[in-house]
Amino acid sequence: MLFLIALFPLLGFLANGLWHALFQARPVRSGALIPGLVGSAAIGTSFFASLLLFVRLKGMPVSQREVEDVLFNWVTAGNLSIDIAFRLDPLSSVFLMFITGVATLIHLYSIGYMENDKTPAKFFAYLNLFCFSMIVLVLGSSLPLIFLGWEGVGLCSYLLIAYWYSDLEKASAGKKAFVVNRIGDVGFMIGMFIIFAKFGTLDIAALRALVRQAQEAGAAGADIGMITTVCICLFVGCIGKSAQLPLFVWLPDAMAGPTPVSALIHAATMVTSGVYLVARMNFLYELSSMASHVVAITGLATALFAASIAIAQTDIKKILAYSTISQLGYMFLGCGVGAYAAGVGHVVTHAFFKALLFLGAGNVIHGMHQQQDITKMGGLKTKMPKTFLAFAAGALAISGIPPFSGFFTKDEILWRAYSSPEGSVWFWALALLTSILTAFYMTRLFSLVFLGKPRFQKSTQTPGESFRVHEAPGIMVIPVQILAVLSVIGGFIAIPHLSWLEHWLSPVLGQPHQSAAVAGGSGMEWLLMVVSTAAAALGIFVGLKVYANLPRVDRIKERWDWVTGVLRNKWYVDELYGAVFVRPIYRLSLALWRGFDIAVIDRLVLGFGKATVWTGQTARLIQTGSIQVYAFVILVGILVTAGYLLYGVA
Amino acid sequence: MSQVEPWVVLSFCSIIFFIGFTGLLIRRNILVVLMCIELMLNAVNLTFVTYAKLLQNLGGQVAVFFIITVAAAETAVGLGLVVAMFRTLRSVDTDQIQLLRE
Amino acid sequence: MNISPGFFYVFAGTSILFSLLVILNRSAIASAFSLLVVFFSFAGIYALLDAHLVAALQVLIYAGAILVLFIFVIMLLNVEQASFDYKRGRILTGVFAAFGAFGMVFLLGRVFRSGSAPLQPGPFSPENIQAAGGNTRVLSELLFSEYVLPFELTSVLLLAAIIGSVVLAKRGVIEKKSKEAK
Repeated sequence: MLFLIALFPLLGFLANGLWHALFQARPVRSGALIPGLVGSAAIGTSFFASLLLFVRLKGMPVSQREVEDVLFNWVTAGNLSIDIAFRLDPLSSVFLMFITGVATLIHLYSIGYMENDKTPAKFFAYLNLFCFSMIVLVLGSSLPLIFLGWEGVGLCSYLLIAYWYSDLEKASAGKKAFVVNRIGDVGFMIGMFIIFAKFGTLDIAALRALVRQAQEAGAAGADIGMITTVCICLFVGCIGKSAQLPLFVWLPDAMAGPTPVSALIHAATMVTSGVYLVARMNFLYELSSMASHVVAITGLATALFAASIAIAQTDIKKILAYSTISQLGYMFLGCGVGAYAAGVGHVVTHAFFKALLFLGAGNVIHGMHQQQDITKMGGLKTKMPKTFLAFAAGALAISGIPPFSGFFTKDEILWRAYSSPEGSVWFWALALLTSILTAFYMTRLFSLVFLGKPRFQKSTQTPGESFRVHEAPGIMVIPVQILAVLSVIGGFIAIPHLSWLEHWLSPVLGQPHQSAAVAGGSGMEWLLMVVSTAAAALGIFVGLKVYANLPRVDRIKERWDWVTGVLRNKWYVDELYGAVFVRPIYRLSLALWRGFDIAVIDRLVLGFGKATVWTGQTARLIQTGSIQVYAFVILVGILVTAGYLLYGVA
Repeated sequence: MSQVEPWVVLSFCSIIFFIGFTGLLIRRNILVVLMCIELMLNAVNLTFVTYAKLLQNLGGQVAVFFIITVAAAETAVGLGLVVAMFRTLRSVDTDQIQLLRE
Repeated sequence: MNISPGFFYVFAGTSILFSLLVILNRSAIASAFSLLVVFFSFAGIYALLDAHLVAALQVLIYAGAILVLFIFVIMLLNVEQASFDYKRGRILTGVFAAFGAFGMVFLLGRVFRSGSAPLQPGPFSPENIQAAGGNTRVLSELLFSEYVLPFELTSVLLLAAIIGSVVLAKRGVIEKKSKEAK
């Protein structure tokens, strides 16, 4: 039953992939409807199956909520034995539902968005393959299987970013994503190796049992250094996949891909797999407070850093990308302070509202004829009313205004950052600052795109062309509206204290840490909640106020030119990496190519070839075709052998 | 002196065998080459018979019986091949029959 | 071994002499007749070694059948003698081959001389053979009892050889016929 969830997208991938390979090798404009429907049906069936499984899981006793499905043995070598086995527990069930659900909506949306694409079957094949990999990642019962899905989503991410590969910039963005992710994957692999060397198993349930056993026997303390190492190694993988500091540089570039891809892969699902991994391995992170601190501080720093960059960007998708990085930082902050349920809750609500924002942005880009610069938009409120409303819901949700979904989960993280024994006031304060920045840049985006006067008539590059901004077709609006509804009500699964989500996840994640000093302070909690709401409102208010008067904005920009310059250029991180890593490696590669590859390896390889030819030409002389020469050679051979036997052996 | 040592007989066999072998190497006429092969087979036969006598075991003579049969068959087929070859190549010279070279 | 040295050395000497003639004579027909002498000498040695049946077969098959076949083919092809000369390079090879062969003979002779390890004699002593009715009878009984399977297989081999010879001999005829048909 469990494997069916993964099977449907795989079938969809095969169907669309074969269709593409057989009939669409030549670019023909053939409409996205049929491949889109096949792809959507595949993932929709998976979504339906996930719901059924969720109901089944809910019917089970709390402590036994687990479904396992062992398919076949994958690798057996020495002590290592890896099965292709899927395991569903409350945590993976939550991930599975929102992944398949959001993915279904985005598949439907893509039918409209990719309407004029030349190879829609390829696109939907990639999307289905991505869903398959993501499901394997979430359902995999052992680390290697998770890694398989991990690499699979990485591959699909690469394929989809570089989907329009004839554009050099987009192709190199795909490459960048791929390479940066590999750096993180090395960490993941090293973590796996250490785990296998130390525990002798890579199955997560077995690992968890072993760790618990060691913990009860009091032996875990001795290995705390090793566990910290493992946790940090795995977290390096998460840094790469979830675009945290310092490996976040690929995600903004990944916006080169089609917008539905950005929504699905680079906002809702793939980038949250790092959070999934940390939550999945929570039994290890709980043991090591140092690793948890690393996670929390990385998350917090990334949240603040990315939010600051988002303020100065002008590309609508890049703003959303930095916002994604920032929100992922929140999730890691939650996990780092031991509130895994809060982190996971934010993953879910973030998936809703960030997918909504990206799809909304997709509608805007679609309506603006591929214009992505927000300074050249404005006044779309009346032109695209449905998208406007939905986008407003998403913006309010991400800003953290109650009762929109983002408020509950983000506030939960803020509260945990303050109240957890691993947390502190500083964590809370910085997270709050981030929250203000978030509200501000979202308002800026919203205001520049939808409010004010249109700024595009005069700035269109081709004045002669008829330029008519239009609302997106129904197939692109309805998924956005569904997501908008989810963004509004989605937070109710995680209302503090009544949190259904926390309760549901507790068999896997345990209870969040509560410091004794603030355990009873529910007054404090209310206070913080009001403060964070006020902060969000402040951010929105300032944003609206500032961006209502654009000339003044320009004046401010001029005055604070060095600040906005730094932010606009993303703190020069790309340039720094270029100078520190990329260019030296490039030079080294060049030197190696000239000095070693051509001079040594090529000469060696060609030398082998020449030697073979020479040997052949020489040896050819022996083959005279004369039987008598052969017989003579035999005689010599016999003579030598007999002589050796008679005189040589003794 | 009424005895002949076995090694003398056996060495005689090997002498005949290698005379045959030398002939095989130096002659160009393929018919003579075939004759040399017969010579070598005879040398082997004599070795078998000598050992049969030496070991008082008639298995050696049985083997000779089979070798003679095989030699007869071989000669028949070999000469048939020579005739067929001569028909196509108009030659029985081994230096000119070097088809294996190409 | 209990054989007459006089006869043995005469036969052996004749054999060596005439086998050298076989390989050194320029004329194929002379080689063939030299070979005939070698075959007869061998038959004599077989007789000395109490292998009467083998001696008879030697004369009948080698001298009577195989050699006649050789002479027959030589006369049939009737190739002019000049082309049977050795080549210059061939003489050098011959010298080498002779040296190699001499080395082999030397090695083997050494083996045969030193190989005086006590060998277990079989049941077929001359007395036993005499008592059982002579060499031919004992050998025939062996052929039809212990070695009956190889014996029967020999008949298959001969059949194959016959068919092979017929195919080889008839091929030219068939080709000629198909050419005429065209």
